[in-house]
Amino acid sequence: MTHPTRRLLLRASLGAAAAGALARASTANAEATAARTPKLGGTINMHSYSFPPPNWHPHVTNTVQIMSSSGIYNQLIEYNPEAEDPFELRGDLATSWELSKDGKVYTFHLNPQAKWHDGQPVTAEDVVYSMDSMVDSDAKPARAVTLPALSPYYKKGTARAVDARTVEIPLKIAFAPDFLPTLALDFCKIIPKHWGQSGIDLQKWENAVGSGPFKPGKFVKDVSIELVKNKDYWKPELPRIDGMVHYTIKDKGTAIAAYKTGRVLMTNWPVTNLSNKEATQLETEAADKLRVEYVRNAAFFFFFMNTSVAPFNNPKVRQAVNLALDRQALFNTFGVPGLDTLAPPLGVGTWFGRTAEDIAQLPGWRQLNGAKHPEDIAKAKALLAEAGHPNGFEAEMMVRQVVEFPDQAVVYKEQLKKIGIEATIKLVDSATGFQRYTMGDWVMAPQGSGHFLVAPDALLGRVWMPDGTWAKYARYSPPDWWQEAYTEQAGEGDREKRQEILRKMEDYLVFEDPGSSAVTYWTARSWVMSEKIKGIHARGSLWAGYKHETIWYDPEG
Amino acid sequence: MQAYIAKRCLLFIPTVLMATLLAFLLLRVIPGDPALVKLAGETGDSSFTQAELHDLQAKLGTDRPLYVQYGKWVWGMLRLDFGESMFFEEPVAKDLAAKFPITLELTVLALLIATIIAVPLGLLSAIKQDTPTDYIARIIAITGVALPNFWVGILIVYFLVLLFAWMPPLGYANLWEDPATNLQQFIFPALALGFFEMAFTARVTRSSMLEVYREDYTRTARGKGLAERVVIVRHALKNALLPVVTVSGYQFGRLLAGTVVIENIFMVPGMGKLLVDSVFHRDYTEVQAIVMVITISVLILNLVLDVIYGWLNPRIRYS
Repeated sequence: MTHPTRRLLLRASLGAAAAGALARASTANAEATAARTPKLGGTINMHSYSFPPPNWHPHVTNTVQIMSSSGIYNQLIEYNPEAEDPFELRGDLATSWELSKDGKVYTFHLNPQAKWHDGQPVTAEDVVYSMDSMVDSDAKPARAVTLPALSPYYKKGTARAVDARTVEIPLKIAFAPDFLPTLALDFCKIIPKHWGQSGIDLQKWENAVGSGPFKPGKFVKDVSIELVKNKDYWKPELPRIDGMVHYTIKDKGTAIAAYKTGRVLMTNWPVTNLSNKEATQLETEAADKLRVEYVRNAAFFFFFMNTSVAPFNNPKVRQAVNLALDRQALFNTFGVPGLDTLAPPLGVGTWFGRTAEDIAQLPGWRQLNGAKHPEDIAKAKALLAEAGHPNGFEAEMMVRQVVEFPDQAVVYKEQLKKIGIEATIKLVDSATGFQRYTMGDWVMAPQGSGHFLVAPDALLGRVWMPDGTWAKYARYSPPDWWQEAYTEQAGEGDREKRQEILRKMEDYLVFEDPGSSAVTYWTARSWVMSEKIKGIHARGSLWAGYKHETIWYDPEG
Repeated sequence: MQAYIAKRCLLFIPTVLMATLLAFLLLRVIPGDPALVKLAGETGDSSFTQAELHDLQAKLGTDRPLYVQYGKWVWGMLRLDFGESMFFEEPVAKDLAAKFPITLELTVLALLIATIIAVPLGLLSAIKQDTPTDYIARIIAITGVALPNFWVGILIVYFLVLLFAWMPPLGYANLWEDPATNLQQFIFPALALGFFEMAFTARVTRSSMLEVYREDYTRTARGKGLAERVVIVRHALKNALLPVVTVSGYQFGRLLAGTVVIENIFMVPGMGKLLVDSVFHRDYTEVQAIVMVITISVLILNLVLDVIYGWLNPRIRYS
């Protein structure tokens, strides 16, 4: 019998250690692979901050509420929910597409497997019907979102079904770089023509027919909206979950309690009454349970002025306010560094926006020794004097009691005092605020706007162009040359040339007249979700990525 | 008694009329347009034209003169037609039929909890007057009267989450289909809602018991050598509970109307939550209908209680 020598024992123990390490590595690898491998099944409870819509037709449902029903339908193209790049587009109903050489016609090729919930195939005629429905200005109820979003690019009646699987969509503006990113947004849904013309009530939840990964489940008004898995979904192995339930929770405390106790696993839209600071605090307090994704550059806040009433019908008064606002102080109070940014209308860090260094030198944005630049205040006072208000003036500041507006109003009030403007804050609820906006019965207000896209057309169009939502409320119309420049840049395919046009437009808003809206800072919006939710990331727009066909639920977390 | 009931029923008419006027006019006084709320959406970033706004106003009837709108509504109510929700364009009666039983369940449960705790607490406090037991019971009662119920509700949610990392299940489980989940969903809002009523009833019970305790017949019963327990249960309690019964009944009406805040905190989908949501939507028809249902319920309840009290207490009946 051979007695074990020391060398033998050493070899054996080294071998055992190596085997152990290999086993551990293998287990870890298996665990990592398991963590990346989507699990199937489960129902996800979601927090919905908004009320359910008054009707469920996807082209009528407004921006806030499409999140609840997005999973019932598909778009032609979509923001890739699985890509690292939040702006990457991919086909949804379309497998491929191309633009004609003259930049005037897009041709989309549809997936032959695509079918509606009732089993009928999705055809090019359905796409034509849907495009026309979205821009139909005579449609009742009104296409309050899709019409202004798409009508700059597409004219009703011009799309053509080449064959059952091929559709041509001509553009009003050749090349229109922002058309595809707009078409990929969640409210540009393709709906069945036979459903639209069937005569049934298209507004009813239970009548919804789409081609999407989910079908309508139980709808309990003011309580919950359920979507159930479409077991015959034409994309294999999708969706991964069995369904989702959107619970309407308006109270902030109740919502936080629901996240902490796991009663809800995520919010269905990154806009709630939780501020970014509160969301990050929640993430810290429940770090083992929750994470927060951010939609960067999701919106900007601005000081809103009614340009149809005195004194804001005078551009000098508007520019005075533009100069007087201490944006850094606002940002220090409300912004979250790393998430929010100080930037003018075209943002910072985008191909069309200025750099942070440039912005820091802009009047209205610049500081001196950590305080508001005194030249801006002096210039603001001088402009007010030229406008006939050497001692300032008094005016009411209407404040809708939503998001951060009431708190921002207090800061605005103090800042405007420095140039002699005495603001009386009048708090109103949202419905009253919109009524007063519509009637023109307001003077100034804190306001913000979410961006459909972080792209020039969307950024500038909604706020400053005469047909834009906010310009309409403020009765604002920019100079003719500015409007012509807007149209010109919308069709300019050369980035450098487009950037040049945009810079001139932004210079006007910064150096001469902010119009109805003096932008203060840009904000990200926070999307709270449980660590058990996988396969989802915030996309590049607040209105992208809510179909949830790739999301999955890992009960192990 | 019949004349009394008839007289009370006649008084209903001016009371209900006044309630309809108040409900109708107060809503029209607050700013906000139902058509605008529908078109603008919650963030106000939906575009629409003035023509679309006017069309919707015409459809909802809000462009008609106020007296026309009022007349149409009251005439509809007389035929038990509450109209359509302005926001959802669905029959209001359907919502009321769904929500009223939920609010009723919450109210009944709150009253039950309040009474079950309040009566023994008040009795104990009276029997053990001026002892530490009495003091503790009175502190509980005073606390209950002092704290607003929405604050109690928020505290309950807070401590549930903080101590147990738990909150009631979301949504609504029907009592007859899933009683366990239903109880989990309702017990805490019922506690919050009933806390004030519990305190108030405990104090009434204590006062009433103390009064009865000093009556001649109670002293006589004690003098006859009966055990204290028999004196309390057989002689004192029944008479002491008379005001408690009537007070509890009137509290029912208060509770019914007072569920608004609690339902919103605990997300109970009853009439109170619907009322708040409808106010945000400026859903005039929905708000008016809810207000009238609660008003008429309370009026009928008060009448029934007055009749019962008169039957129970002959002195009241003949006065």
